[in-house]
Formats: sequence, structure tokens, C-alpha cells
Amino acid sequence: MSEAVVKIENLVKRYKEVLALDHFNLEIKEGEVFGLLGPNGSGKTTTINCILSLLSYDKGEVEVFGKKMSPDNYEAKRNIGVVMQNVAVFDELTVYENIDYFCGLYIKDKAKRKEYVEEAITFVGLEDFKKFYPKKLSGGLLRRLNIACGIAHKPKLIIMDEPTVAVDPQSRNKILEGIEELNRNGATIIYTSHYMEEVEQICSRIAIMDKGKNLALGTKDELKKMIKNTETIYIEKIDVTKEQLEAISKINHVYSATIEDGKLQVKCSGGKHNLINVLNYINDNNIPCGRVYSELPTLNDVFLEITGKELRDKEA
Amino acid sequence: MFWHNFKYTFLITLRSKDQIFWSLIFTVILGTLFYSTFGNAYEFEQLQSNIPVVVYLDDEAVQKNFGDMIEDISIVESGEKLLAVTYVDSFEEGKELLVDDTIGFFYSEDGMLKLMVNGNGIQESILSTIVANYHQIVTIMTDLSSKGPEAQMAAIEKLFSEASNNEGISLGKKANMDAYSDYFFNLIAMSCLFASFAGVAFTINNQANLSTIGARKNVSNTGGLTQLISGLSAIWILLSAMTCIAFGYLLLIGVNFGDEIPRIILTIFVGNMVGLTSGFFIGSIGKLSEGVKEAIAVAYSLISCFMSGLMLQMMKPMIHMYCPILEKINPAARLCDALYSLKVYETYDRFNENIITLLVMTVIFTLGGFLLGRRKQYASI
Repeated sequence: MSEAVVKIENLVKRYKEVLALDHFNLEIKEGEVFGLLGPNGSGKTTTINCILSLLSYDKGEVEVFGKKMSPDNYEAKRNIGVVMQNVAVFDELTVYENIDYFCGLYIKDKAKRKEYVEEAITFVGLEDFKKFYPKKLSGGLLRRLNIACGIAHKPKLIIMDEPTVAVDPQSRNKILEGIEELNRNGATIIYTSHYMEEVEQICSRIAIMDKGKNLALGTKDELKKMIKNTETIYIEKIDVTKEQLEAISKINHVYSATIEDGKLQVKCSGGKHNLINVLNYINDNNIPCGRVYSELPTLNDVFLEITGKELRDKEA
Repeated sequence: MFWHNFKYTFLITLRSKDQIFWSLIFTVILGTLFYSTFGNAYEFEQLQSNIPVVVYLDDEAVQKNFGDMIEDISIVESGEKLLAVTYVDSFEEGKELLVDDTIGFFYSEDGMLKLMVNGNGIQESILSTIVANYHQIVTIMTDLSSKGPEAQMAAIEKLFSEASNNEGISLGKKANMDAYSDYFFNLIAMSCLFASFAGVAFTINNQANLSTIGARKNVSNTGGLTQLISGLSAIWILLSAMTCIAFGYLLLIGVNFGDEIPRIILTIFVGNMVGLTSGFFIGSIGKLSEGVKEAIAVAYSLISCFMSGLMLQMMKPMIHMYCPILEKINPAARLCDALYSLKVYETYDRFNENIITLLVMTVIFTLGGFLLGRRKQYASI
């Protein structure tokens, strides 16, 4: 069994009256891409800052690489790379200089550092922008630079706090592919995000957080098995009576049938032929309808069922 | 790690357009403006003689000191009298004469010399400069009197031996004080104190609770003290060099700072150290926003310079008279005084005293900043 790279026990952090972390427990094993998923203000960044020993906490313990984490634990710090939520680079330094500067805070040997910096530049795909100043880079390229500054010294533990916020799809894919490659090269990764698709795509284990608590923990499949919903069927432009809606909700394995803006939403729990059963009923009753499709549960459904609210604020 | 951080902090500051503007370009521009204004005044002053003034001095001390002084003031090259003095018997009479062809009215009030002028031309400026010089001499004499009768007598002898040559008022062989030197001393002091802006920016970029760059630096395995000392050293050397360049420029255009160049450069380095560490101190205060801290640094620099006479030459003697403690703790005033003493005095006692005061300020700011920002963990970020 892999060793725990990060171990958090009973962590409590208060900001005056607000309880940011409420007896929070977590164990992250070597080689994992661990996702911390939760809405804004759920305590993800506070957890990261406590792991990094930037924040003091009221109670609990944080261990990194088997030793208590403290501001003076330079041995642990040597092996940690951080990609902050906000871009943290100097506007006065070029792409190359920024990466070299942050890498140089860890690596003393000049030749080795040069090699690492070149590798980091290639890794994030900024070869053509080495001499550019950050202000000349697009948002996506700036995020890539931010990542390069955090990982150039080849850390064993990489903490990424929402690294894809406000990033174009091309850069986002590049970043996600990069994270998977870093993991294949041996790095343990802690990835926080409120984008459930990203977490589903790259994380081997996920913790769902809300109000400073760890609500659920497991692989994405394990998490999805925790909830009642196994499939949701959508039928657009449908016109059903109240009686027909009630009849649909009584179909085998269906536990909820609702209609909103002319779109029927049928939630099922278990069963293998739910879509066929629903379509048969529609056909038998000659109910006119539009597009029909079925979706498997997402982490948002998991979050919704556990907390009773959406993971992300609905976009306008 | 020290030299790595030193190199990049140096580079970051060198490329910081704002900092270079305030420490170098602004100083050069203002110096040029001062020189073009005062330079013309210098030339014009040569053409001035027999400026009509009225004098009414009912204070015995002022009458004794200033009465002798105005009689002796003359143009250096031509030997012509600078002032055509008319003594009057009452304040009202003086005021009446001022309305006519007289340029200025010197009178005493509450033991102080005052000047009333009829306009704002070059002749009026010369008269106000005379008053400023008089106050400076009184200040020097007061200082010397506290050092015992021997020092006082020696100074008086020198003062009168120089005065009797009708070549201006001097305290020694080196003395070459002109009316506008104070402005240029203040300009150098201002450039030094503008290092506080870089101190604030550096401190903010070093603290995890104030910037993401600070957070990134804090989680690295380079110790905070190494980062602090190497960074501050880099900024100090660079900004001192900037002020030296500005100083060199002022010398080139013809500003007379005297001949103690190495000690002036030492003063510049010490001044930048005070400026930088004061910025470090301001930057370390609590969780105030970057904008607020920058505003405090700007206010601190400009108020210091204002009180030492950058904008109004009369401020310096006024502060000396009414609130001497402010003069003692004002770094701009100490810097100006260090430069002034290099130009005027033959000995270095007063210069050394100023430099020691500035170094003490540096130690206080550094310790204060260190104590305020020494936390390794934060309650909130």
C-alpha cells in the first residue's frame, strides 16, 4: 500500500465567527491525482494553505511526507510545488526569467536549473514565448506560465488550486494533459476545482467538500454509487397530462418524473432498460415529443443529492 | 540562493518603470527645472544692486545681528552694495514707504526677523533669501552656543573675518553656500526617500498574506531572512546608484554641491537605506492594502521633504524654531543637513552626527519592519 503523502487529522480553522474547516480529515497517497471538489467558499483553498503551513489553524494536525508540516520544514517544502489560484509571476521578468527565478528558490545548481527551466517551458508549450513579458501573454498562456513556475523544480507533491479558472478550452486541455503527464512521471497531485468535468477527467480519488467538511470521499464511481440516481432521461417538447406524468413516475425503477419548460425529466434508480420503458409508454399513449436523451449521474448530481444544492452557481 | 534572489530583485527593480521614474527621472526633471529657474536668478542676481529696502528693528537682538549683516552684504564680483537701506522709526512708517518705490520692508516681531514685500519679482526673492540665510546663521549660532564659549568664539571670528571681506557670509574656508543650495539638497533627500516605494513593493511581494507572489516565495525552501536581506540589499544598491546618477547630472549642469563628493555619495547610500527600510516598515504594517501602504509611503516622503524645505525654504527654520524635535527625526532634514554641513563646515562633527542619526533610523525601521512581518504563518490570507 502506498504511503500517505499528506495526512490531515481533525483540522479546525476559524475566521472569527466563520468555521472554515470543521474537523476536517484527509489522507492523500503517493501517486494519486486527488481532487478537492466543492463550491466557492467550501474550504478548499483554506485546506491548501494549511497543508502549505501558510495559515495557522486552531486545532488538528497536518503531516506532509510523514512529518509534521511547519513553516520551517524545508525538507518537505523542497518537494512541494504550488500553482496558485491567482497568477503569481513578476511583470518585470520574462517568461524564462520568471521560471528561472522561482526554480532558483529550490535548485542551487545553475546547470541543473537551466535544464529544469527548459523542460518546464517545453512541458507547458511556451517555447515560442521565452522572451515575452507576462503582460504580452494571453490569459491561457499566463496560466501555463503560472504552472511552469510552480513545477519547474520537479516536486514530488504538486498542489494546484483552480489552475484553469478563466482559461480558454485549448489551454485548459493542455493544462489537464500536462497534469496527467506529471502524474505519470511520479508526482502526487492535489487538484482543487469547482469544475466537476475536470475533476472527473483527471482525478483518481475525489473528496467533496462543503462548509469546511469532507462530505464524501472515493473514486468517481464510488461517489456515484453513493447516490440514488443512476440515470436521468430527458424528453424535449413533450405535452403530457398530470395523469400521464404520474403514470411515468410509476414505471419500474423510476423514482421521479417532473416537467419544466416543456421538458420531461425522468430520474431512475437502478434497472437496465429505463429508456426503453419510458419510450414504450410514450409510444403506447401516442404522446408527441421532440429529442430524447439519457445522462448518467455526474459529480454535480452527487453533490446535489448530498447537500441539496448545485455544485456551481448557474451561469446567467 | 542569496545571489540568485539578489540578481532577480535587482532586475525587477531596474525594470520597474515607476520606481526608476520617481528615483531618477523625476529627480532629474525637477533638478533641471530648479536649475533653470534658479540659474536665471543667479545671473539676474549679478545685475541687482542697491535694492531699496526699509528697516525697522525694535528687537535688540535682531537689530544687533541683522543690522550688521545687511550693511555688509554686497555683490561678490563688483563689490557694490546689494541693498540701499533706509531706517525708519516706526512700523507704520515702514509700511508707508513700502507702498512707494521700496521693494522690501524688514522688521522684527516677537524676536524674529520678518519681511514684507511689495511684489513677487526677483528682487523680492533675493530679499526673502537674505531672511532665510539670516535664520540659518541664527540657527548655527544657537547650535554652537550649546557647544561652549570656545567654539562659539571661533565661529564668530571666522564669521566676521569672512564677512569683512564682503564676500558673503561664511563659517569657514569651505563655505560656499548660495541661496538655492537647500533646494538641491532636498532634491537629493527626496530621491533617497522615494526608495520607500520600492521598500513597500518588495515587502508586499514577500508576504504570503499580502500577495500571491509572497505566498509562492513563502512555500519555497529558501529561508525568509535570506530572501529579505538579499532583496533589500539589491534594491538599496540599485536605488543608491540611481540617486548618484541624478546627483552626477546635477553636478554636470552646474549645481554646486561643494567638493566633498565621496561623503555626498556616502550620504546618498545612507539616505537610500533610510528610505528603503522605512518602506519596508510601512509595508510590514498589518493587512492594509497595497494602495494604502503606497499612499502612506508617498505621504511620508513628501511631508518629510516639505518640512525640510523642498517646497518652501522657510519651512526649515520655522520647524527648527517651533518644533525642533520634528527636525531631529525628519530623515529628509537630516539628509539635507548632512549635505549642508559638508558644504559649509570644515569639520565633520555635524555631518557625522547626521549620518549616525540616519543609521539609527535605519536600525529602528528595520527592526520594526522585521518584528511586524516576522510571522511565518498567517491567521488569514
